Amino acid sequence: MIPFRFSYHKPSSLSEAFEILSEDGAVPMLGGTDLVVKMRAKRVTPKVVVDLKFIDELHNVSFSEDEGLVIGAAVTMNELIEDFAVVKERFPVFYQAIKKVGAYQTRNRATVAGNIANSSPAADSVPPLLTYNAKVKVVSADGERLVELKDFFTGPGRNVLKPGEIIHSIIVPYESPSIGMYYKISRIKAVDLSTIGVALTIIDPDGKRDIRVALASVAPTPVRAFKAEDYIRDKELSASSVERFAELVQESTSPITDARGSKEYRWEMAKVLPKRILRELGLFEGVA
Amino acid sequence: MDQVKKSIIKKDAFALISGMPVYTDDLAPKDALVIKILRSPHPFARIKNIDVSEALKVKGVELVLTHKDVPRKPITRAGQGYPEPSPYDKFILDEYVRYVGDEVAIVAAEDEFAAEEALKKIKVDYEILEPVLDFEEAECNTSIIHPEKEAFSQFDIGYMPEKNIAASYSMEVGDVDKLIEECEKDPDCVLIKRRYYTQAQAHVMLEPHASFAYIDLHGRLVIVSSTQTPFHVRRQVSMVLDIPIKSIRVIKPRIGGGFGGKQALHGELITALVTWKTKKPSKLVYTRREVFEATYTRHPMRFDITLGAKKDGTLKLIDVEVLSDTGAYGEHALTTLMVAGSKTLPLYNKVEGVRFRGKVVYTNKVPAGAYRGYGAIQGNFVLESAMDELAQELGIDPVDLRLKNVIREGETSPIFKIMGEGREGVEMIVRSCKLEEAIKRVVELSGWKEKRSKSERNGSKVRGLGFAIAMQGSGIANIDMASAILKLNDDGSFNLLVGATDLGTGSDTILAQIAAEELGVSTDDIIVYSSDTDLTPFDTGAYASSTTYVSGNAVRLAAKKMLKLIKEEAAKMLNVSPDEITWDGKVLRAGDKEISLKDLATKLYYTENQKQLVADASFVGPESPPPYAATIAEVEVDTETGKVDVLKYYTVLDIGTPINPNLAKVQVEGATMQGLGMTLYEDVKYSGTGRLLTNNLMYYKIPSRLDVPEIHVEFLESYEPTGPFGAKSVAEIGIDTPPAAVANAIYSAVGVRIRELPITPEKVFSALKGGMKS
Ligand SMILES: Cc1cc2nc3c(=O)[nH]c(=O)nc-3n(C[C@H](O)[C@H](O)[C@H](O)COP(=O)(O)OP(=O)(O)OC[C@H]3O[C@@H](n4cnc5c(N)ncnc54)[C@H](O)[C@@H]3O)c2cc1C
Repeated sequence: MIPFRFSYHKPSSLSEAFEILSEDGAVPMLGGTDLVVKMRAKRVTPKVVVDLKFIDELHNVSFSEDEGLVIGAAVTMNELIEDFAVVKERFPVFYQAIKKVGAYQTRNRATVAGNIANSSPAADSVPPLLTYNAKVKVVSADGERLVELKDFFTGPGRNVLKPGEIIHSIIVPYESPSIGMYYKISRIKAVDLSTIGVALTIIDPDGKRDIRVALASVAPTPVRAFKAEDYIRDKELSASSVERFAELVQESTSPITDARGSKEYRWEMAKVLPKRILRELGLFEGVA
Repeated sequence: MDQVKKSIIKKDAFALISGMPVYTDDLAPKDALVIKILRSPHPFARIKNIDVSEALKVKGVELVLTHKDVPRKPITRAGQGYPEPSPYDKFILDEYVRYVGDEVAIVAAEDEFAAEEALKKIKVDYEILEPVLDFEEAECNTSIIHPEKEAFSQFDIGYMPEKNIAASYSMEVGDVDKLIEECEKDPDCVLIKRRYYTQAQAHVMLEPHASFAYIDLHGRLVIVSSTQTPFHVRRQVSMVLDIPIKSIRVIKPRIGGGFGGKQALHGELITALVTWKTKKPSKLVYTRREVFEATYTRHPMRFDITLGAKKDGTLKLIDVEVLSDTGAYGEHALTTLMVAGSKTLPLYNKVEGVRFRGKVVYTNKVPAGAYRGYGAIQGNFVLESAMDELAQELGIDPVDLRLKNVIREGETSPIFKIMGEGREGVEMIVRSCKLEEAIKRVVELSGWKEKRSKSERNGSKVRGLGFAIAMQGSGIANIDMASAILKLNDDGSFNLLVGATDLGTGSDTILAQIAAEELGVSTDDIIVYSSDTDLTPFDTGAYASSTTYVSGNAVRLAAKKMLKLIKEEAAKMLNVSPDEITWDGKVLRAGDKEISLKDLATKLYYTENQKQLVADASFVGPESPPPYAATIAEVEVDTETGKVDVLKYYTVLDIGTPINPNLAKVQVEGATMQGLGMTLYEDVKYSGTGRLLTNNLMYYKIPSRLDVPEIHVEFLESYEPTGPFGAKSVAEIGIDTPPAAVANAIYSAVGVRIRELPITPEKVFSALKGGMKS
């Protein structure tokens, strides 16, 4: 059980939610797969839990080539990938990463917004979203603002949200067809956080071929390897260029040792995995 | 045989899967006081002062106890037969705390909120002492973990607390030093010396440790506990709290897994104490974190092994030296050490010399205790990895090396007599041993010969096969005692009362099958009631792979007696002599006279020769016949990431007669997964300050459903003459082979030898690349 007392509310509108969220010690909740776990362990002890799942507006999903994919905060990961084929078709790397979150049961409750708001360096949905230049729509009683996902995180468990602000939706712009891979190393095959996660997305593979890379669990926040991307842009994928590219990806990380893995292993894998993904995509031959 | 060798559904299966309230926490009185424990944040400290006055002021708090309030009486919580081979080195609460998680104070309150609040208000002033965190530096450390004078051992177990040694042991057959010397000089001889390590695996049973207590109408103390050993609980509670045994009743409801972790007492002493003091019901349910931080782990061990063999593969000598880490308390210290030898070394019974020595040291870490495999899995990883290394050195197929040296039916080993559990063992000829057949069969099943001859590579992934064999025991010979009572009902059904403890294994069902088979009735007509110290006869408990063999033999003997009684009564009714009676499971006949069992039972109750038919029997195993396993694991190693995938797992076993083949199979499958968990995933990490980091299921990873390989389990035809209907044990044998089989497979795939469990991708990667830069 949760070893302290708190009150639980399920507002049906945003304005109602903002009102309750203004109370002392109030926190928002979506699937609760992070929040409830932390409450049980007494790592967070809110006085008021505001469940946002019952606000209709937060359940919207839409897609157009101009507006991109808009994901309401309360949409569960399973709803998103099972009910909206566009995710798999247009954002394949994001789709793969979601499938690697927890287990099926976890994804029945977990949301992408919760994954982002929780701001863990290990958040699996974040690296692909970074490669797709996603934005976060933040709302509060005072209005709304749009934050680039790459600017959202400020440290492990920390982000730019101010008191009273919540994530309303995630916007994933659509640029062109893409291919890629999310490669997650975890100790067991399900219900485990990543020891390292690498999203490599190739935007417009048959045209301008923009290779983008972002990683989880190798730095205080999920990171995008801009330097490596700049280096490989317009370059032929040869053994030496891919090697240098992978080194630059590695250099964008600053891993630590924790219960899931050592900093040495993470460091090594940060170089192995980008090469390996390029090979598995058939863009490069050689050992990783 | 129609009731045994039959996959009958577990008697409690439906209740369990339909979510009926059957576990300890489901059954606790709703008004029970909730107990919470304040635990030490320091690995080693002395409590200078403890102030509970503020905690007592919290509304709803009933009681707060510190070391000043409880009897200072040393005990062992091990849950073993008396006198235990474990040091009496633990107090319910003590002035010293010896690991992060050790009990400091007990709070009992109306609800969990009040109890939690009170915990925060207890003020403790600690004198921090220098902890011993590295078990290789424990012996003769300047920090002495058990300086107290009261601690003692019941008999000589090599207990030397002044040196931080909880137990020690040594034995030797032949002159091993001389053999090593000879071997070194002999060009026809190969000698290998290796060092291995195994880790402190956690049990991760689904149901955490839980118990509750209340006072019955006679003023007696009733403890309901998720325990593997109700009779040991009764004895130990009586001893520490000075409550007569006759005033205590211990009941075990259904258990959600134990694996040895619930052999020991972990909450019972506390609920008993609280209820005895307050006369109110109380309950203590451990959090998952407490299960990790404050119960038991497997004993981590370091092994130095030397094997010597002739070039033709004849094994000449085995020399094993062990250092084992028992953590803060010495429960099961000696016996897990000894089992590392006694349940592995007899596999190679033809050696000229064998030596086994070891020390078990105290450290300021989570205490170690019983865990399925109980030393044998550690010893097996080492012996069977080393045998693989030896085969490599000799250029002999690892299977052939085993076939040349293994024990066979009708043979013996001097180890059986020399090494028991905590004391001398018994001489034993292995009457049933299909190890050789198991080896041949697993080789055939797995395609060993064809697959070993070509290495399969797919991009960065390479496959390999590894082989290992194992043995275990069936109960502790001459120590474990079980008993059973059968009672005839007026409809011709039987109550079977057993002290044996079903902890999810299905032993209630298996014991009913044994009774039914002997009585010639259907298992449905046997109503089992188990593990209640008031109502069921004594049983040492569910550990050491004992229930089917030891308790099963007691049940069979009781059933035999019952059948005799029935025939005698039928003979009286029919006016014939008992040996004229024939019995078909429903009707008793003599010539043309007959009476059904139901009629007989009804008459005995109400009209003629009135009496209750009751039969009882006890059994102590004069031997502990080993089950055997031969295993081949097929793995795929990713050379770029060091990841190891077990693809296929073949294991062929001799467990004697499988009383319930389905339950036997799931025992082996479950044990396999626990063994694979220890082999590949279950890493135990401490902070530099002695705090367990892997203290929840996000940090500590056991294999998930998706990590289960294709597992093939096969039982060979085998019959153990001393077992009930030919049965031996199956509970532990399956856990022993995974570590070595997988380590050997990894070697065969990529040529790296990992000698330290768990075999994480990092270790494999680092070994493949010759190190990682830091
Ligand atoms: C068994 C298990 C396995 C898991 N495995 C993975 C995994 O493999 N990979 C992974 O990345 N994660 C994993 N997680 C973590 C978790 O499931 C994800 O982070 C999930 O996406 C969180 O979403 P949620 O809706 O449950 O968030 P919640 O728990 O409801 O909320 C998360 C945090 O965000 C805050 N919050 C909630 N809604 C909002 C909002 N609208 N605006 C601002 N803040 C908000 C909450 O207060 C809380 O701090 C696992 C969790 C469990 C229990």
